[in-house]
This record gives sequence, C-alpha cells and structure tokens, in this order.
Amino acid sequence: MKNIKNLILSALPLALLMSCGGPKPGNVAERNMLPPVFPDIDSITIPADIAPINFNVDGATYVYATARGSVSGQIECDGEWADFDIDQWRQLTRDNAGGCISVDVTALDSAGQWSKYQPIHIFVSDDPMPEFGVTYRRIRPGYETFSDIGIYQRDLHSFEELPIITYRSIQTDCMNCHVANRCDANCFQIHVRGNHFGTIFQKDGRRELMNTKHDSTIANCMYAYWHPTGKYVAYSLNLVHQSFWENPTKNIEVYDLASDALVLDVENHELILSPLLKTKDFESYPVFSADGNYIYFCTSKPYVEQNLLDSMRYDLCGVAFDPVAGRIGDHVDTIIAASKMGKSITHPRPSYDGKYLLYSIADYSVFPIHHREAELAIMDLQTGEQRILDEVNSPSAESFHNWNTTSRWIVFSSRRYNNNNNLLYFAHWDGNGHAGKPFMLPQRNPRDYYHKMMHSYNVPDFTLQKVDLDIRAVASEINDNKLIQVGLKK
Amino acid sequence: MDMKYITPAAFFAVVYWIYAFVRPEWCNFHEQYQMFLFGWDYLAGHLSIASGMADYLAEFVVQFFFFPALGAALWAAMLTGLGLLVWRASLALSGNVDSSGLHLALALVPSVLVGFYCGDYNMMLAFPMCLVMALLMFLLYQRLASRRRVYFQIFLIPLFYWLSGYGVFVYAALCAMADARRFWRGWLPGLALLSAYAAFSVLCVVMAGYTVMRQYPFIDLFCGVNFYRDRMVVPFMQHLSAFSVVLMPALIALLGRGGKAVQVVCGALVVSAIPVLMPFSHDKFSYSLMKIDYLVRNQRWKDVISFCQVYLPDDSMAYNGLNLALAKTGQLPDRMFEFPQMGQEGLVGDFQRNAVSCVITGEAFYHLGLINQVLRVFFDSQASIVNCNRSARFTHRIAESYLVTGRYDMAAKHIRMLEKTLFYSAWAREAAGYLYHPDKVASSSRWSQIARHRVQDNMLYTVTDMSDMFLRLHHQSPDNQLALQYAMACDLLNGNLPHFMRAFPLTQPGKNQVSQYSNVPKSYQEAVMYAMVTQSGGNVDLPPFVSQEVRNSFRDFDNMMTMRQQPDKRLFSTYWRYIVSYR
Repeated sequence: MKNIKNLILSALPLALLMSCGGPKPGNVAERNMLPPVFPDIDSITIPADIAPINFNVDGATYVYATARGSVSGQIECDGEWADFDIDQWRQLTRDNAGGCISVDVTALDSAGQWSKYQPIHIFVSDDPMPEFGVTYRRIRPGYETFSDIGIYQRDLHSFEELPIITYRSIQTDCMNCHVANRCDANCFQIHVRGNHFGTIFQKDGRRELMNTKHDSTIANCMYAYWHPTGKYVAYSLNLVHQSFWENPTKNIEVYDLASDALVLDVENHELILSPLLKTKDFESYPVFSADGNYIYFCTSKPYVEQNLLDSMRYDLCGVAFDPVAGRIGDHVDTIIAASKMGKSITHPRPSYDGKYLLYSIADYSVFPIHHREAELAIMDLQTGEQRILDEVNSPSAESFHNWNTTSRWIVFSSRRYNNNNNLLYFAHWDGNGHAGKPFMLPQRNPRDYYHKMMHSYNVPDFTLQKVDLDIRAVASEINDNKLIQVGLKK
Repeated sequence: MDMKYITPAAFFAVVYWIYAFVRPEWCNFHEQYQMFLFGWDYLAGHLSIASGMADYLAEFVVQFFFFPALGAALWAAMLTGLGLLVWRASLALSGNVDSSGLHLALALVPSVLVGFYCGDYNMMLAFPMCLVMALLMFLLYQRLASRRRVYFQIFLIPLFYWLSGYGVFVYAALCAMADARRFWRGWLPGLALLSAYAAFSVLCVVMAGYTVMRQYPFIDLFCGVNFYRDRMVVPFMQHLSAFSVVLMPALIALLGRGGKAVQVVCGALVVSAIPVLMPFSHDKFSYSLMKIDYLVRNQRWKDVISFCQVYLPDDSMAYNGLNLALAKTGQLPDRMFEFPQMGQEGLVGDFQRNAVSCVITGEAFYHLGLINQVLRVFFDSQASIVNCNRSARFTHRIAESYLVTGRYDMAAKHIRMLEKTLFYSAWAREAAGYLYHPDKVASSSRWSQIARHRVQDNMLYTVTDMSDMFLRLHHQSPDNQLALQYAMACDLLNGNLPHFMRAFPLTQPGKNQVSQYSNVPKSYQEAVMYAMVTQSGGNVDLPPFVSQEVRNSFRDFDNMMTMRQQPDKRLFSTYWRYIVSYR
C-alpha cells in the first residue's frame, strides 16, 4: 500500500522536477561551520551497503551535496534536500568500508544567499551488517487504546517499509512482540491480544497458534526471548497497569501488579515453571544467554498499593537453564543489585557472541520508555564491568534495544527527537567496549517523514531475511480461535 | 418549474429540515470523527487504497458538517442527487424522454433507503458516495455509442473498482443491463453479459486482495474500506440500498407515467418516508448522547440543561455533560439533585475503550484545568476510532494541551496538521504564533486561565481521591471555582459527608464564622442538615443558613421514610432522596 502511495506521491513532483533544473550556486559565502542539518549525521558510523543517509538543511530552499569517499568514489545530488541515489550511495559505502565519506554541502537560503559549509564526515565501518532490515511495531504513542497499530519490517538497504501484520488484517486490540530467534525470519513469534488472541509461532514455514495462558499462570506469555536452539522461548507474564501523571514532563507510569517468568517448550507446547521465577516478587524480561545455558531476568519487590511507584526498582538476576533436560536451575544469582544504587534495570539483551549484556537503566520502573532519565548501559560479561553508554545516550529516554547477528551493531529506540515519539537509532559496537555515534533510521526525506510521523517505533530487532507471514491464513486462524492450549511440563 | 420536480424539491427540504434542525448532532458526530486534509499527500494516501476515492470525496463533503446547517444542505443534496441520478439512469436504460412525477418519486426510493440506513451513525458517507459515483460513471459510459464500448470495460471496471470499491458492482450491473438492451437483446445474452461483468469485477477484487491489498480482509475489499465505521461489518441495509439503485432504474424504465393521483400519493409517501421512519432508524438513546455532546462541544450550557430536563439518558456521558453544564453556569450546587444523578461516575466518567464515551469527560477536564487528562482522554478517544481516522476536534484539543503545557514540538506537529484543514486552519495559524512563547500563552485570552489552573507540580491522577484532587486544583488557583464545585459535588455524590463538611468553609471565602455564611446553595444546605441530624440523632442546633424551606422538607422526608412511603415529587429533587437511594 505504502509503495502505491509513494508511487503516486512521487509521480507529480518527479514530473515537475524533470521539467526544470534547479538554481545554480553563485556568489557563494564560505561558512566556517557544519551545515545545520536534520538529522544530526556528522561523525556517525554507518555500515556499508545501507540506504542513503539523506538529510535536510535547516532554512535551505535548495541544496547541493557531494559525497566523497576517502578511498574512492564521489556522488552528487541536488534538490530541496540531499537525496542521494540509492545504488550510487550503496556502492560508495561499499568502496569506502573502513574509511570515511565527506559530504560537502552548499545551500541556498530563503534570502537568496548561497552558503558553503564545512564538510560532514560519515565513518563507514568495515564491520558488515548482514541483515535485510529491522522489524518493529508502529503505534501512536498513547495511553491505553490502540487501533492504528501494526508490525512492520523495513529494508535497511532502501527506504521500503512492508507490513507484516496490521490492525487492518485482524480484529484485535493489540499486537506486539514480534520476536525472532537471533534475527532469523524463519523462526519467530508474534502475540496478539483482544477478543481474538493468541501467540503465533512460525518456524521454517510451519505455523502454530497457541494459547499460552494456563490455569497455573497469572497471565498470557508476554515479553519473549528465543533459546538459540529454537526449541524454547523464555517469557515473562505481566499484569500490566497504568497510572497517569498530571505533570508537564511525564504523562504515564506503566507498572506491573504482578509478574512471573517461565520457559515455553515450543515443540511440546509445555510450560516449564520454576518456583524461583514464580515468587511473590516480580520477575520480568527473561532472556537466554548466548550459549543458551543461562537465563537473565529482572526482579523487583512487589508493588503494594499505597506504595510509591518510584519504589519499584528492578535488579538484574540470573538462573541456570539446562536445554537438554528442559530444566531451570536451583538458585538465583544477583548480577547487578541496581535497587541498592537507587536504579532499575530492564530489557537485558546479551550480545550473540556472548561477550556483552546491553540493558536499560532508569531511576525506577519496569517500563523505561516513559522515563526521560532512562539510558542504555552495558556490562562486559567476562569482567563484570558495567558502564553507562554515554556515547549513544541522550537527555531523553532510551529504551528497547537489540543486537545484530554479528554483535557489532545495535538498534535502539529513543525519544530524543521530541520527547514523545520513539524513533529508531543504530550504533556501531567495536567489540572492545565502545560504541560509535548513533544514526537515525534513514528516510528518503527525513524532515518531512519525521515531522509528519505520528507513530512510535517499538520493540525493534534486526531481521536477516524478509519476514514472510501468510496474513490471510493467520487472520483466519485468529478469528476462528484455533488455538493450541499449552500444558505444563511434568 | 416542471411539476414533476416538486417531489425531489420537497424531499430535499424535508431532509434538510431534519439534519439542520432536528438532528444537527448527526452532522456533528460524523464531522468529529474525521480530519480531511488538503494536500497531495492525503489524496495519495486515499488513492493508494481500493475504494479510497469514494472515501476521500465523502470526507471532503463531511468536513462541511462542521456547520450542521451547511452539512444538512449537502446531505440533502446528496440524497436528492442520488435520486435524480437514478432517474437519469432509468431514462438511459429505457431510452424514453417522457417521464413523470411517478418516475421521480420511485427514483427517490434508494435515497429513502440510504436515508433510513444513515440513522445507523456508523454508516460512512463513502457508501452513498460510491453509489453516486457508480451512477455518474454509468451515465458517462452511456455516452459511448459504439457496441465496442464493451471492450472498454477491461479498463473501466478495474479502474472504477479502485476508485469506488463496492460501487463497481452497481456500475457493472447497470452497464450489463444497458449493453444487453442496446446490443444483445434477449435474456440469455443479457444474463451472460451480466455474469461476465460480475465475474470480472470479482476477479479485480480478488487480484487486489492477493497483491497490493494483502493486509485487508476480503469483506473490506468487496464491500468497501471505510464504508462502515466498524471494521469487518457490513449491514444488510448497505446491500439493500445498493440493490435498489440497480433495481429502480430498471423498474422505472418499465413503468408508464401513472395517473395524477398515483403520482401525488407516491410523491407524498417518498417525501414523508424519512421523517416517519426516523424513530425506527435513529436510536433515541444514542442520538440523545450525541446531542448532549454536540451542545457541550459548542458550550451551549443552557441548552444542555434544557435538553436533559426533557430526556436524560441513563449513561455517565449524559450526566457528565449535564453536570458540566450546571457547573459552568454556577448551578451545580443548587440544582444537581433536580436530576437523578449516578454517583461520581456521573461527574467524571471512567475511561472506556471507545471513541465516544469519554469525550465529554475530556471537555470537563479541559475546563477544570487537568490538562494531562485532557491529552489522555482525547488521545485515547482518537486512538479508539475504529476505522483509525483522525479527528480534527480531538487533534485540536490535543494541540492545545501540548501548547499549554509547553510541549511545543508536539503541539507544532498537531498544529501543522490542522493548518491543512478547512475549518480549523484559522485557529491553527493563530496557535502557531504561540509556539515556543510561554509568556504569550500565559497572557492569551484563550489559554491564560487554563495555563493558570493547570497543575504545576507532580500529581498522580486518581479516581479514588478525586475530591482531594479537585480541591488541590482549587487550592492552587482559588479562582478555579469549577474545581471547587466539582470537589463538593464529588463528596456529595460519594456520600462522603465528613470530607464535605471539612471542605464546606471553602465555599464561603472570607467568612470565619458559620453565622456569617450566606447564599449557601440548596444541596449544600441539605447535605449539612443531613450530616448534622444523622450525626446527632435528631436534636441539633442547625446553622442559620439552613432555610426554613429546607428544614420543612427534611421533616416531611423524614416522616415519609419513617412510614416507609415513597417520597413525593416535591422531595424528589433533594440530596436526601439521592443519598438514601445511593446507599
């Protein structure tokens, strides 16, 4: 649909553009400053072969941009904004992997003055990003109700966005948690809620729809993470509640009234419970370690009514897991006692090479998305050293994040654009404990796109291939409530 | 004027009268659940969806419903125009130029059916628009004289399906009849042509469904995206109305002129059909809620109260509107128990996941100064619009909320959208001048009061201590009398008399002694008396502000209760009657 719209949208302006050339620079003033561009792209690190890093120049009515590779190659573009040709740009990044692209900008302002700015530098990493793109949920950043909601995938080598499943396809209240096993689009799950509900599992083209609520559990399985073998999924079960602030800087507080964690044996449709993950305390966001022998999760003292919401702080803990026997270990390790530091840790994500653990940290809460102070932090799993990732954080909330398959790139959502909409950013990870300056998800016309954008991007993850879901079959199965009821592992 | 046009003219007048004066809320309801934007981007968005053009044109028309008088005229014109097009189609089918009032009256039958169907407020105007488009397209097609025009359908049917969706079936059926009559006379060729057109139309739908419209269920693809507000629902009336558009031209083409009496009777029946059928098509309860919402939106407080005196739907939304109107006119303390009341929920409704129920609550929050709650209610109401339309009315309130609380980037995002509308753009342009200027907002005539009344520090919105929350608003801005009225009303409605008695002195500013209290509202007098009498067991020195009339009423009420009698009508509008039934 979006393609058709883009086609229609581009048809008329293109015809107009082709019929007339742009203004030619004359009487150019040299500016000893970087061009005021949106988004901020100076000194970012990008992978080779990614979609063009287009940009708009504030106050400019016409822009000439020349991208010059430090190794070889040069491409140009001109127009109302810098809009590079996709193939030329990708070739340029491939030719300059491990080097740098300098972008010279000459812009015409509304007063008719041409200005030439200092060049923008974009570093091209020689760490490849082999993924096709990213998946995410798009949703209006609101409160309790969502109708215009969908899970999408975006090709990172172009500007094409494709729906995976949207509100149009099925009658449901909410959908979330498209979670793939290590970015593998052939092994993923999606959860839908509402009158018609269920958790869709698709592995190697075979699809099952499960009801993951069991009499002995408090809720449906919610926040998910695949075991590397694809046999298990770790889940937390959360009774989520919201309260509303009457405060200009904070609107919503999302918290749990109860939460547990468990593991689902996907092949046998069985829940694996453990008293260690089903305590009176709250357990949330369980994830498997890279080798699959350990489960990291977050835990907090339970919420008691009349308690202050800012007393809810989550520690990072862990418990062993035996994937052969399908058994959870017998003791819990406290890895980071964040609550003692007056902090709360959520969204742990181990890198797939097993070396690092990326997580969110905020002053309190299980849902950092609404906390401006929320930041990304990292722990070296070999040394136990932890630090805040200052090089990627901003004064706004940074929240959900994921690694790519090579563990050299991270995608995360941040509200830095306007403190309201979660947008996607990518950062390079050098494997030695340092991240590059992040860049925003590229768009053909970034300012136009993000200025009009009313949605937030949630739960981003990389995907190696295009996700292929037979939406008509899924809609039919969900609407018919053809669910496999999970049981308990004896 | 040719006498045969009297029926359509009268039909227009009746429809106009209904929607301009009897049911202006119908126009308001439709207008507030969409936001038509001028611009290529918005058009392209619609054109990228099958049946999007019908939806786009319908939204274009509905934006004028902002003024119900104008909206009613357009709606009446649309229904009458539909009838005239059916009549023209019948002429095209019959090849006859001699038509009578009977023909025109019968041609209005589809309009009557659509008029009946539109009482279902979830019917979207895209549906009648697709019928109009189908008839226009058919009449254009009729201008092609050659037999070879049939081949054009290979392009026309897919194109028209993309533009009008469901309308393609009406168009295909009319074309099949016309082509069969002109070029392939006889039942068999006619049936074959009809089947071929129908099959080709279905093929177009299926192809769209498996290619570019994969996310849309087939029910939407066959019956029109946004032809009904609820997704995946197609009422029988849609099919019946569409069928009548195909049937009536054929029927009229076969009929003679009819006698004078027949023409008059048919004309009268058609003209009177919509008002006569209205009670069956326009559900009184829902339309009353819409009416209250419409009046609240336009801040016609006295009209809200008058309307509720005649009929007050038993729904928190209606009570929210009534109590807000009473409070805005300063009558809440005196008159609230003239109405049955339904507890705190009648003052501020609980959140419900739909686009309608909480809108008046949002308006109450706006006037009270609970700006984040305004944002929440209007955001969630907008997000609850089941066809995922945006609402210009809600966007307007959302933009205001962001502006008043200094979240200018978000305010700008919404203001930019409103700038592309027809009737909100002037407001948006004015509001844009306030962006990033908190001082200007604080001193503006429009927002200074709300900016002053809004909560300045951290407060968690809670329904359990709502009275305290309102009192906090009043403490922060003592001129926020609305908040004080709501706090007191909240205690009265919850029967929390100790809290009411503690807060009561706030209603008498500057007076330190009870003996100085004056002009105490009736329900406060009743509540104070009730609290003191029930606390002391009967013998109590009542304060002087409790009037003799209240004292007498209470005595009568007490007697009736003791004798287990129902309180008489005179005592119905007292706090005691409410609190006894509440408990």
